Amino acid sequence: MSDSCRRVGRPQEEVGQDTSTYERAADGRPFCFVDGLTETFRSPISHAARVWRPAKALPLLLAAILMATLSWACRATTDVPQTSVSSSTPQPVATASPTVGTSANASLSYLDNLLVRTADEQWDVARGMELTLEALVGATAVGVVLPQPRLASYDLTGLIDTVREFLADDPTPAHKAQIGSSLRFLTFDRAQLEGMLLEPGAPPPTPLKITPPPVLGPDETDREDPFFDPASTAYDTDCKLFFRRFPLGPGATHCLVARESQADGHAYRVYSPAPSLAPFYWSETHRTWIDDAISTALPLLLALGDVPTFDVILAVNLDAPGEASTLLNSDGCEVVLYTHLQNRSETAFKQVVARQVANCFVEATFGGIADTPYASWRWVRDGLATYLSSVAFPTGDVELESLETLRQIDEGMSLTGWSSAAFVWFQYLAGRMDDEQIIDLVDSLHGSSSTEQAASLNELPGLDDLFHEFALAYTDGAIHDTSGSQLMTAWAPQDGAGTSVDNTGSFAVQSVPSLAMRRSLLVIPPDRLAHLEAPAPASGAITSSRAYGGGSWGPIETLYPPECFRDNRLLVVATNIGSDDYSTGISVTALDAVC
Amino acid sequence: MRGSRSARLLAMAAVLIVGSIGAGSVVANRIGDDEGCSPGFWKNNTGAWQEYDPASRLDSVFTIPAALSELADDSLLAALSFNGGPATIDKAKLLLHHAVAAVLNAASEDVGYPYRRFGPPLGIVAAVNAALAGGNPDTMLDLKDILDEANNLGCPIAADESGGPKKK
Repeated sequence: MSDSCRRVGRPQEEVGQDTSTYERAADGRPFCFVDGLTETFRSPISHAARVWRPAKALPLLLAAILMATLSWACRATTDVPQTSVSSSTPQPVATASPTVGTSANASLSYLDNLLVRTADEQWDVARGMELTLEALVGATAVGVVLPQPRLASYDLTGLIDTVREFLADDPTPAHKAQIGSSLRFLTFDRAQLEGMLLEPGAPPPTPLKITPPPVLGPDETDREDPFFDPASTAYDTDCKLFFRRFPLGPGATHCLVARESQADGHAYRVYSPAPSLAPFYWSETHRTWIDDAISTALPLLLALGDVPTFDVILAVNLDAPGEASTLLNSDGCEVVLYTHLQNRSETAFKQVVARQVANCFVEATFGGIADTPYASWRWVRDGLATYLSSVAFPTGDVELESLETLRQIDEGMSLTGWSSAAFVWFQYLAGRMDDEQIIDLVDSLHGSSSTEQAASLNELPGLDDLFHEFALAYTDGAIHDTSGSQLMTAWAPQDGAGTSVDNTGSFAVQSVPSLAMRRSLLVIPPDRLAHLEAPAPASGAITSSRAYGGGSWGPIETLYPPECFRDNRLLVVATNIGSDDYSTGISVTALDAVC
Repeated sequence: MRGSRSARLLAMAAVLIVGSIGAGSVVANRIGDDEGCSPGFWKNNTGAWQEYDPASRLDSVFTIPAALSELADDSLLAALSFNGGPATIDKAKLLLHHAVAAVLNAASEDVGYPYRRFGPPLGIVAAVNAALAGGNPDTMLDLKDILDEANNLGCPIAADESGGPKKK
């Protein structure tokens, strides 16, 4: 067995997840079939997305049960090897167990984390939302919600929108009360903002006076909050909550100031905490950056579609471990920036602002998408907004932060599960067409489930080729950022991943879901040539190969390597935009003593 | 300087019981007497620390806002050496200088400190977090003054350079 054929991980009977097939030959000479990340990061997100119901009226509790069931069913189906494997045979790529594998996976966003853990039956939908929102308002440790320390994106838009959808459809009073109480800390509408504004002509509020706790007499009751001066003014009373967190409810008023601005014919307001009261470290510099970001992004967005009325709110909720959210309200769009954003550089800060305004743009421009659950179209909503923000601020590079996570979960995952990392797809399209054509392409999409969305893509002429070419460029790491730098997507098998099999066999390129890619490495014994035979792909599916060490892509040749002692590793990329999962295989026969 | 801690607690419990019977209301929100050790004492007597480790990070005790994130990984011991200055972050450092001493006082079984860490009176941690969060330097200095006064009520622990602290 060559070094590159080392088998790692647990044996098949323990893991029980591999989908590769092969048959053992008599002479026992090994081929290797390396499938780098395959099932190790088999996407629970895509399962979740697939079963996320299109009708908003369908209770999400039912959806959660369905997600969990289908997630289990998908595992049960795809995890069964297609041919029998003797226990003495070295096994194909080892995989993590479903539970550990999914919960330990990196998540792209809070929404993706919710979908993963719900599909994994760690939470029901309501409990997941309750916990996640509690973490966002500081009532629960973030570590309780996130199994991994970092997310690829701290945009809370998708999570908040999904929670709102859930509450709109779920009639359970307990859910409305528990989830709603946390949601109130994160959301508000224009009327609320107006109500919190300092009255015109009113003197600026003074800081809340902190006085020592009083020493109470024997017949006095303890005060509710000795931290604040009990003889405070109305401002102080109204702004107590504001000082502690974000102003909420009818009692918290007069704590905000607003500045009117205008860009490209669009008037907007930037709401800030009254600086004299507690500035929460928002400064004039931040407000200038916001204006710069909007004046740069707005012309770009307006040239491509619609941007609704929007405002920007500098929030004071320090507990929210997020950077920003876009509240998609019926009366306009509210872009909320949280104090964590203050850690960003100027350009990155502006890019995040541009991304949030682009969220407003997506909502207003693509009516069909806006009417469906956020989760089912988050790859377009978040991905396109992220891409457009990088066009506005090419050197901000905020979008690049999702690449590391994406590379852990991209294998066999439908593009519809890529969330904000789907910017890579739009970035690739930008190298092939202009932005207006990208918008037209998105505008032609429809459907709620990933298969429906894939079908709508498949209806477009040439999209199967385009998606396949995207997969090849992605695998090669040949997609360029707006700034011109290469996106770090180049494929590499995990160290030691792989398994040795015999010199004759049928190698499954594994199941490729709709709108997904699958990369595999076939390793021929170094002193042999092999006959390869691949069946014609199904509709919407395309398979290409090239020498792992480099070279150009092409169909799978019948003889590999073309000469003795050339690169004996063949990289195979299979893509599928058909509605059904695509499974194929390559028959391999070694030629004895050719070299 | 003062009676033993157990005697004081006993006396306080008696007051609470009598008060409850007599007035039917809460009678006290001070949990100790008027004792408090200064930041300088805690800096020089780490052997007297209870519950806290001098090397622990500030953000393990307090919530440090993003704008003050450069302070987050400073140790509790380092905070006891913080100085002031003109910027908002300097006011925050002044507050933290006394806030660390305050939590050490409140955590110590040997100090009858007037404030609690996690509840009334004051709720030191929440109060400090709120003051840091708001970013208003005046608010920070207000709270600093309150803690400063309490931290200088008088230290019942004898400084002992060679070994651990001894009760006076």
